[in-house]
Amino acid sequence: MPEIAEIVELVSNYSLLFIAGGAVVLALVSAYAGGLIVTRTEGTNYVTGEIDALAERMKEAEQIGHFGSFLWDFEDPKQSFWTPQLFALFETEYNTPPTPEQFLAFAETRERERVADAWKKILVTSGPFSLTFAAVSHKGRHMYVRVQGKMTPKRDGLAPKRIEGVITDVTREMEVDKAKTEFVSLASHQLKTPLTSISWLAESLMRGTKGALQDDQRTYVANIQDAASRMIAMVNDLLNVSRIELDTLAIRPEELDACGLMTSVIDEQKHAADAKKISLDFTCAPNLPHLTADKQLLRMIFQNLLSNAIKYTPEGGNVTCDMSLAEAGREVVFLSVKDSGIGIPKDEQPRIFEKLHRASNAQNLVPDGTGLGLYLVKTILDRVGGGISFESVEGQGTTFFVTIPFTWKARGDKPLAGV
Amino acid sequence: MADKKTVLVVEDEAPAVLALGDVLKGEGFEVLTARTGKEGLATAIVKHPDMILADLKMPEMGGLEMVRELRNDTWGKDVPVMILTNVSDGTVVEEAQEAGAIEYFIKGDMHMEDIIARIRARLGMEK
Repeated sequence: MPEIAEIVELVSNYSLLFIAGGAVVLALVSAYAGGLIVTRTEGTNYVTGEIDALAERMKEAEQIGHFGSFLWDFEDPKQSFWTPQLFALFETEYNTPPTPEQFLAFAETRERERVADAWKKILVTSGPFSLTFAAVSHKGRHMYVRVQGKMTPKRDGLAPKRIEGVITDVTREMEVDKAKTEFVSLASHQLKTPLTSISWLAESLMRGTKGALQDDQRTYVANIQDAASRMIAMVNDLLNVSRIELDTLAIRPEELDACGLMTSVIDEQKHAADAKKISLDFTCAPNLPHLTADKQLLRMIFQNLLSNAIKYTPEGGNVTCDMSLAEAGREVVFLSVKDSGIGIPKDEQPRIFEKLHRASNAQNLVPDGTGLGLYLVKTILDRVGGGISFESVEGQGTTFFVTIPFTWKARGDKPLAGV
Repeated sequence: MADKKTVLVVEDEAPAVLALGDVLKGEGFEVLTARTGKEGLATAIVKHPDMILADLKMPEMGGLEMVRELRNDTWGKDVPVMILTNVSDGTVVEEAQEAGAIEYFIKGDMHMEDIIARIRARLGMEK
């Protein structure tokens, strides 16, 4: 329990602490929850008044910020508390703070597994955490909540001693985020129509439908085609990111020849490699079976890996792709894409699959990338039971290793989850 | 020419029609065009093309509705229709298959060369 003097000091610092944000407010609430009892029994009227004022201000802050505070004390469960705002948020029937298990049962059914996994991690990781999920209140109100807190382990460092933090109603934030994603999706669809026209008109000219082109005219038209297809690829990346975020990514498997698909992607990008005098080699094992995979998604994976390899390899370098069969018993195909490029700096390697992340040397060489490619490649491979890893030495090159399952499970578009 | 195959392009994006029409003509096809599903339906029933390429989102009548209407026609029930669109979200691909479309292309991702190869294959005109 805190000393009265400490509480008085906390009270006087309260305004400042509040400005400092949720985490600090949280520390204050813990102190106040324990301290209130002390002052009622031992304190002066002056302190009691201040504490009441503090309690009132906390309550208001919680209401304005749509959050409430909690503490689960595993050593002394009597110390555990939920502030009234949390009981109100979950419209709960509980009279005492629910246990973590009871609390996690507020998660929407579709979220249960993910939330349970995340909680298991929280229980064994000391320090701060954040977890956002879709929940349903006791009375059936659908919402999104974010739990931000910290886990303090017992002295022996194993089980948690206490978990405390704030739970915020982030429904509005998630709705705005979803609306933004939907807008990106809509805008991207609209962009594809004129881009298709540009690409097709250029292809028509290249085919000589309006007469044979002179060499320099061919070069110009080829550049238009190339720019249009790069733009279409970017729009496709944006569309796929929005599908992932809206949870509407469909997987439509069909029988296909992965080597043939890779060959066509290489043909498409050959001129980009030629322009930088990069040698581009592809070997494909002869015994590869046909895959049952989503052609658009697999093409996008190949396109991203290959265009990255070409983009981040200096003039005169080389890019080597190899497709082979895994050892017997594993129903996967291996693809490696090796380049002699700029490599990924060691300290940035853990972040390269993060959305929008671009390595610093990549940004210097090619300023206008989106940072979406590898995020998409990894997310999609994860969803279909495949995987990706890499080896890289800055200044020497990078090799990506991809595993592609023989058979992808179909997944239809889900209707948007209502909030 | 008796063996010249006719392709009807139903698409409201004029530059795309221009490009595709030119290339199809260059490849020896007879080309008919329509700007809406309604116009496409009327043209198809009168001219009996060998193949129809249809967009999905068009004014008056979309591509899916056009295919469904065609399937109610004695002649139209068998004409091959390929969907050429930039939309693939939701259940639209499955709906197009159910309506009787034989191929579904995301046009922004396709070179016309590949589309023409598919038309030839479907019409048994392998080069």
